[in-house]
Amino acid sequence: MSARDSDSELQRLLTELFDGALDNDSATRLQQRLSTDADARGLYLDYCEMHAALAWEHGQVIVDIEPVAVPPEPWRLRASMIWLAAMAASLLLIGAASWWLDDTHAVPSGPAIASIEQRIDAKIVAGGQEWNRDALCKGSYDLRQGLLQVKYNTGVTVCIEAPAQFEAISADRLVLHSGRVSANVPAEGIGFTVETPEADVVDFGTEFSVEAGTGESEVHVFDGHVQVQPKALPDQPTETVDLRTDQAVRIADATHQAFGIDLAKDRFIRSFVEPKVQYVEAVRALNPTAYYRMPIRQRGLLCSPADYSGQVLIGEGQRPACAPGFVGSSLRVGGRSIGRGARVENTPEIGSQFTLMAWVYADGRPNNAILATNVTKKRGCFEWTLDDKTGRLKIRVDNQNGDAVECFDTEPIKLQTWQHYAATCDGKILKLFRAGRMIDSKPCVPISKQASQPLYFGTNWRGKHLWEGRIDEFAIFDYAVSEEQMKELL
Amino acid sequence: MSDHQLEFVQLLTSHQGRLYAYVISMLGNPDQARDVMQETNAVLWQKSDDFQSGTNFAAWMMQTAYYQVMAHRQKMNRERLVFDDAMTAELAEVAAQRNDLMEQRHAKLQDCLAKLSDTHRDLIRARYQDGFELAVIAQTMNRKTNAIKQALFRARAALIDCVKLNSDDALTGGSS
Repeated sequence: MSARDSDSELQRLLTELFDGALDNDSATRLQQRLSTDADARGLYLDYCEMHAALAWEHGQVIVDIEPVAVPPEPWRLRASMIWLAAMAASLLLIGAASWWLDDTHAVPSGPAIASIEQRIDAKIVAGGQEWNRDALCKGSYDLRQGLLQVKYNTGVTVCIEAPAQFEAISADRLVLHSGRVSANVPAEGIGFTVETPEADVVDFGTEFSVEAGTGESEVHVFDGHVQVQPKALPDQPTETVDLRTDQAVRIADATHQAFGIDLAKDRFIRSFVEPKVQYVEAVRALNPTAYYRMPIRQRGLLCSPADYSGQVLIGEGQRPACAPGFVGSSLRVGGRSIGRGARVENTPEIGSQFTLMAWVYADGRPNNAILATNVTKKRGCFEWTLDDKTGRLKIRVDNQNGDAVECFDTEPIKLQTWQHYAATCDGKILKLFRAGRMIDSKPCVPISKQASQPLYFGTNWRGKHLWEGRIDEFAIFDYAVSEEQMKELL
Repeated sequence: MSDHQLEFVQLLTSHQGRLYAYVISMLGNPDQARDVMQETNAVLWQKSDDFQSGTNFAAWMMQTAYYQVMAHRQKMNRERLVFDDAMTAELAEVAAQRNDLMEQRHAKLQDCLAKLSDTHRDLIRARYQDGFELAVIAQTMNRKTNAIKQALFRARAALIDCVKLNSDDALTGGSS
């Protein structure tokens, strides 16, 4: 029987099994159904396979695959952490939805409170209509898509990432109902306050980020000093907390008490400016032919040199096509973002000797997900992808005879962490590196030079096999960077 | 890591989806299946020197998993088990017969996900990527939990039909 033709009882039993809890009566009934009905048994097994495939593909099944006898405890710990993360995210959505449903908003009016300095694929709705002005007036806003940077007269700069619901109150106060904001506050802006449902966050000259709407608020201080004042509950005093550089707290709605958490350096978009740091300077010292630092731009994919710049591809979604990177920002692809990768028409030639190098961050391991490729139809010479069976990163290069040479990582790509990968070819040997260490190599006959081919990041030329995560600091060289040079970079 | 260990890691990694499906089939409980899967991996590692390159890894893995499921059943309170011994053995046999085809079906999953309606794809993402409970998904989408249950069932059903038949017709059901 077709999966969609199953009866309502079987649907209920399978839903309870995979999405809830199967009670004893339902378990007994499922056993009866499967023992007497071959079609039901077939559908049950189909469901088991599909659930397993989806869970594995989306990184829900995390197992320790190591050459030791691993007790089950780490799995349970990780499973519980995933569960907690899911719960937190769930609460975020509940909070966001209820706030929006309960409120009716007027169109913001009056004098401008802050100017909108940059919109990156931003869709703002206020008072039921799209807000296209270049300033925020007093009122409520729903940032449904993209990224916004606003600046106050005091010099305070705030980045707001979709999805977010907020109110512009005054030049020194922003109410964040849900979402993420990051503020950079100069001396003139001291006292700038971000109010969340759980607390007031008062700044004393600093850089900090706030996330709200999870039934709790988080405050992360990257530099300077802020004061967190949890809102008082009836008959229950709350304590003000002073936070300094590299400190973070969470305030739960139920208790309004702050407790310390780890600083989230990877979560918030804090600046539109790409910082110059040691890694970047070290890469530049190796003279890349093209260096994509993935700075935040409206649709643009900037390259140094600019001749090789390209286009960020956009689709449906909410979060911007950029995200915090290993350095500055990164290209975000897939998931809930509008990012669908990037395309470069005019590309540097990739010939018999080359190096491809990038920082990558995976949120999942989709089959054949593309990190980068210049293959279109039957042309092009390299694909840097996840292996369809194992979730390992692999580099595939076509040699002169048209045969494919492949180098593989030894383990599935780690999720939710930045990793440095590089692939090099010196005209004789193709090598794959992780964290500066060579992990695979194969003889590779020099690749014939080809006419310039479009280059794709995070997608193939058909817009399929999307990467699920982020790509940063992608550099291309016309020679093979050595292992020693690689280690010095890192 | 030796060449043998490298090959072993690759085989173990590439069979994790199949292992999870096989163990869930026998237990009828995703949480218990994860624990047994982890225990099975540990046992496979302990016996990795016994594995001979070129032999049927999947068959060896499933045999080991079967014994781990049986050991797990011995430890568990009967009330927490979904199936009796006879049904477990029967499901193990049928699931093992189908397991070889899973790889082929899994390869079509991305294409089939892309063909889902937007609503169904969002549901799958909320459930598997974000790990949301159905009640939360319902609240977010401003729909009743029962409607989400049915829609999620249909989304999975459409994917099952698609990976088995790879037919576009299976995916035109739209959202519900």
